[in-house]
Amino acid sequence: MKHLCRIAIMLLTVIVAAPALGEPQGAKPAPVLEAMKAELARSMETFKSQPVPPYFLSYEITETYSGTVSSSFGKLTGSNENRSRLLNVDLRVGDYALDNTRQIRGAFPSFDFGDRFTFAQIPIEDDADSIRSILWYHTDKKYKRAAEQLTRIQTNIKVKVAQEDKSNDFSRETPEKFSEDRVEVKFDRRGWEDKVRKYTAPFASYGDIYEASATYYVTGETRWFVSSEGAGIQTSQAVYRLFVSAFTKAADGMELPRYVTFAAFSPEGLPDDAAVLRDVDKMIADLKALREAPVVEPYTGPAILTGRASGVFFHEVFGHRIEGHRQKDEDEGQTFKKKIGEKLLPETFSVYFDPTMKRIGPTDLVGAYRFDNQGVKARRVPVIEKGVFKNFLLSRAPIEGFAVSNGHGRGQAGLPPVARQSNLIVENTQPVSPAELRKMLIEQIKKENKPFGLIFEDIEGGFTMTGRFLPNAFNVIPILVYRLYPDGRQELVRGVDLIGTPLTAFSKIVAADTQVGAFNGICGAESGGVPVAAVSPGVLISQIEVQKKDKSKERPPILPAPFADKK
Amino acid sequence: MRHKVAVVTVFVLFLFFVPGRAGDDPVMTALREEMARSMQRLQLENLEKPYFIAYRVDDVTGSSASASFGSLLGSAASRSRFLTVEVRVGDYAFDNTNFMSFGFGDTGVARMFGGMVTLPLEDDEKEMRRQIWLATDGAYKKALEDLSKKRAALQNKTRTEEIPDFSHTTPANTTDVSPAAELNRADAEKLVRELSALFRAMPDVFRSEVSLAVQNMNSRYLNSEGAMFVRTVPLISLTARAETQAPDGMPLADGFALYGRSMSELPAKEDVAARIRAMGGNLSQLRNASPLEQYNGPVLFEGQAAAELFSQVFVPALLGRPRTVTAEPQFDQFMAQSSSPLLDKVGSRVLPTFLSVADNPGATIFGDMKLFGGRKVDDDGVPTHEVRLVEKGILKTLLVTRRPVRGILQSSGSRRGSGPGASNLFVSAEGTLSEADLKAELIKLVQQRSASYGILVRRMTNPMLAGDLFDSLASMMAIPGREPAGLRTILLAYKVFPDGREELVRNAELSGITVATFKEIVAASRTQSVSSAPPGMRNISAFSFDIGEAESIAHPVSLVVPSLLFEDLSLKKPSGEFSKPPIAKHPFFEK
Repeated sequence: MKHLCRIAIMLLTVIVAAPALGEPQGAKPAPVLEAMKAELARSMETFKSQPVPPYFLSYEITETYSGTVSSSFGKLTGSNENRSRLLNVDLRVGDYALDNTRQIRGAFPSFDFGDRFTFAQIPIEDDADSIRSILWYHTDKKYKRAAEQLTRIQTNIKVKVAQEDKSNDFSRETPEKFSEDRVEVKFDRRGWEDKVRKYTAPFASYGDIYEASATYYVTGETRWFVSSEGAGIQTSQAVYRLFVSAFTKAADGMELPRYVTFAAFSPEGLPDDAAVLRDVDKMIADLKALREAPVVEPYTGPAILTGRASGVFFHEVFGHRIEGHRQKDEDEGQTFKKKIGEKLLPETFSVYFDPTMKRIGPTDLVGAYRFDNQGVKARRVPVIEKGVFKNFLLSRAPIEGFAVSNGHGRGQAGLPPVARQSNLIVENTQPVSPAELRKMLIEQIKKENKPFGLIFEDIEGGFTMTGRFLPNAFNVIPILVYRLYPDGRQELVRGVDLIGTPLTAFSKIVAADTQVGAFNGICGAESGGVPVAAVSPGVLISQIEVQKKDKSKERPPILPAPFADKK
Repeated sequence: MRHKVAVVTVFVLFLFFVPGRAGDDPVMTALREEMARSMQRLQLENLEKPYFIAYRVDDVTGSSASASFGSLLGSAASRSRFLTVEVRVGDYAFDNTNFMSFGFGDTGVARMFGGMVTLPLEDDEKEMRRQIWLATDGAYKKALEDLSKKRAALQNKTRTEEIPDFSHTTPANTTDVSPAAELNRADAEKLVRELSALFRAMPDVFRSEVSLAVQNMNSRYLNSEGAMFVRTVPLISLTARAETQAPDGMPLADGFALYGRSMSELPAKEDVAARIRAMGGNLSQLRNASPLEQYNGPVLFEGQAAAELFSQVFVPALLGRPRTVTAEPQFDQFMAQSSSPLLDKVGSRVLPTFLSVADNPGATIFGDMKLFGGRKVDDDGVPTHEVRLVEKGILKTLLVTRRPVRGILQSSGSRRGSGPGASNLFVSAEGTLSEADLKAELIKLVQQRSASYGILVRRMTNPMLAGDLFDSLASMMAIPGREPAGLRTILLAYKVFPDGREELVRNAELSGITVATFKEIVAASRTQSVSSAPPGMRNISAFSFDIGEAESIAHPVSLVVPSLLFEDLSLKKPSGEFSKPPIAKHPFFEK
């Protein structure tokens, strides 16, 4: 499984945080929740008489209000508002030990089209009758599919060798009850139309910047969750994002992008115009510098990853590999499965995932939530303590030695959840100053007799392969990379991707600095796109490897830009 | 070589130059400026310059609301503006087109798919021109690449036919503008809520939806030969769909669409409600009907059923698509199959001598029924006109675009999206048979065979309007002229006994019907009925990846067709397994 993860950059400039997730309030349960409860009870009652009755049923309805405005080179390209509700039904037959979700082994890897590619739309109005009519329809479909799946699984178990991981298929959890008021989403559409125009206008005088767009997204998500175990949850959260993107092209055809992203739980949490425009000016300057920057050849040697870059590095290299369900799937690489209790990092490093953490310093962290998509309460999960590997990220699919969820069963609205990351936090107990870390890098360069080291300043995202068939490797895509020479001179370069294999890469991490950076992004995997954050200090790695970037063979445009055409 | 290039340049200069006109809007000005610059100077080293460029800008504004069981599922408004660029290199006889080339791939720095890019919504000449510049550059580079690949693919092959890739035509300047359709969102929401709530009185329907959409498509076209058009197509569509299952699990689904150029052209709410109730009533009756076992014998298609059958099976064969060259031999056979089975039949009899077929884009009304397939100019900028396709059973020509096909070298003005499409199709019968006479004819055939009954079909569903997404996907994959897998769209079929008595049967599936079967029509009524419905993906080549298709798929084709009596067809019940009906009762009706 390839996890393409576009984590965009969150600059730690002048973001003024505002309280986002208010404290729990005793709000009145929505009519939606009541309708869900009623239909759930009726379904469980009706199916009782079936030869294979369900032992568990849950409904999750996610209402998404979205507002989007976008611009290109100072002119509006889109302005939309939308509201939808999507349903996810989890219906299980069999029992907690063995149910219809068990992997069928040795079969041609199949996507469950029925589950992964159909979205069940629910009315956006709170009418119990129409909501229930749709719940009924999809519950029936789901039940029939579940019963068929269980039969296939029972046969599969008889004909295949015993499964390595003998854990249950579903964990027992405390059914949670919670309700908070629906968040008020503020979408100043006209105001933002002006703002996004303003943010891309400075690019308009350049004929060698081929795309310059700004998009402002407002998302208000209200979720209702009920289960046959008695859970009843209503949560609501709004996220405000601004994404500015531009690219240019070098003479050799290489496309060179720059991105700037901001995310916050309130519109006030986003930077003001002056701050965004400062970043836009920097983007323009960076693009110009990148066009002229020399290309780096494949290289192995020491490097510094600044906070933001290192956050993505940990997300790709480590985070995806400790997602619980991958430890059970026998097609997965399971790099860390048997490493519990082993030392993976220097003692000064600890790593945890914390969906209850709403911000760090001035930055809101979008991987925060109260309950995961299986109704399990969010909690802080230490995964590496003092360098020693302690825990996995778990949904309600248990793995050997880990019988219960730790609140990381996540998925996009309407999709079945699996174990996913939340806010990844890397901490170091003995950080040095950024200048000191740089000094350490130079020492390392000299020690190894290398002509230079690399500094990864900014990263676009990355992807990783966690399976067994393809090499279990990662690729982190940098945007701003510098060469640092033994004499301290620094030079912008282009054309490389940071690559490697997880265990080797981890074993080379040496030290960290005091400059903590945070990313907010959307991570994509089996259960769709989920908001995540990654927070880390800058780290020194004694050996990394870079390979040539996949490059466009296309030339820049033949004719000059119309406004720059002197003929 | 150098000499030749110079000649081409002069020729092109002469052709492209269209004087600017006063009163142009910024969009047209931007298109014109970039067209001139590109035709004059767009050239990569010593490679060929474009010999033809066409631009189309589509402004699409619309809103829609949908509801189920009395509650809104969604309601949204949207506005977008797209530029489609067509660049041809080579010459009219042999160019970069008619080559299997996926819509993606390297297109310079432009983020294009199927030749399309997004334009700013605001009429700013400078920014329009930036996007047109980048898109033209990308389309030109892709055209050069396609042309060289196409030459490579053909260099070791002998071509048995030399059909030009592009036909000449006289450039026209067409204006086809009508007032925008207006739709008040709140009114639309109220209407779909009320109409969808009708299903609260239909316990036999498992799932249903009603939606109302308005779309105003405003297109501006310009090509380097000097043709241009401004065309607005307002359209309001109201669709309703319902699905259920027979007690044995077989699916039963129906859906219909009603169209208007304005709200006032749509039928009154009470009339729509009556149609929805009738749809529900039919499904209810069908649930209690018996499935049809194997049947061979005469079948009469009445009214809407005849039109839908004609649309699904015969119309795709009337579309002339050129043979596509491909670099991959394994695709060759697919390419051969995607051409019309009627391609070499011009001059031969394809229908009984009493039937004639014509496509008439200029028609707007038949009797008191509005027609919705017409327009004054096609997507190549060619003015449309009536095309007599079949006269007294003899095939005269096919509907073609400016991409000629064997034997038909001139455009019939039929480009819709990336390929040819019908507009308003008229099938007319000589003779004096009434509907009742036709039923009598059916009974006569039954008696001649000493069979116990014949089959009368009153309603066929349109795959775009009924059933779920997967059924539509299956129909998309169908290849024109061949029998689509699982054509399951007969809804209302009746056994007709010699005494005239009728008995409803369900889940009758047509088997083995092809274009050739239509030659065996034995009788048709003199009266025709009108039916407007989306043409569906079926009419589009399985190898067309052009996103510009979206509009032509949604836009209805109107058919005016008499009832048709076939002497011998095969019907059977569907094979395979069907999921059982829901275990629990519908929650609303259990109360």
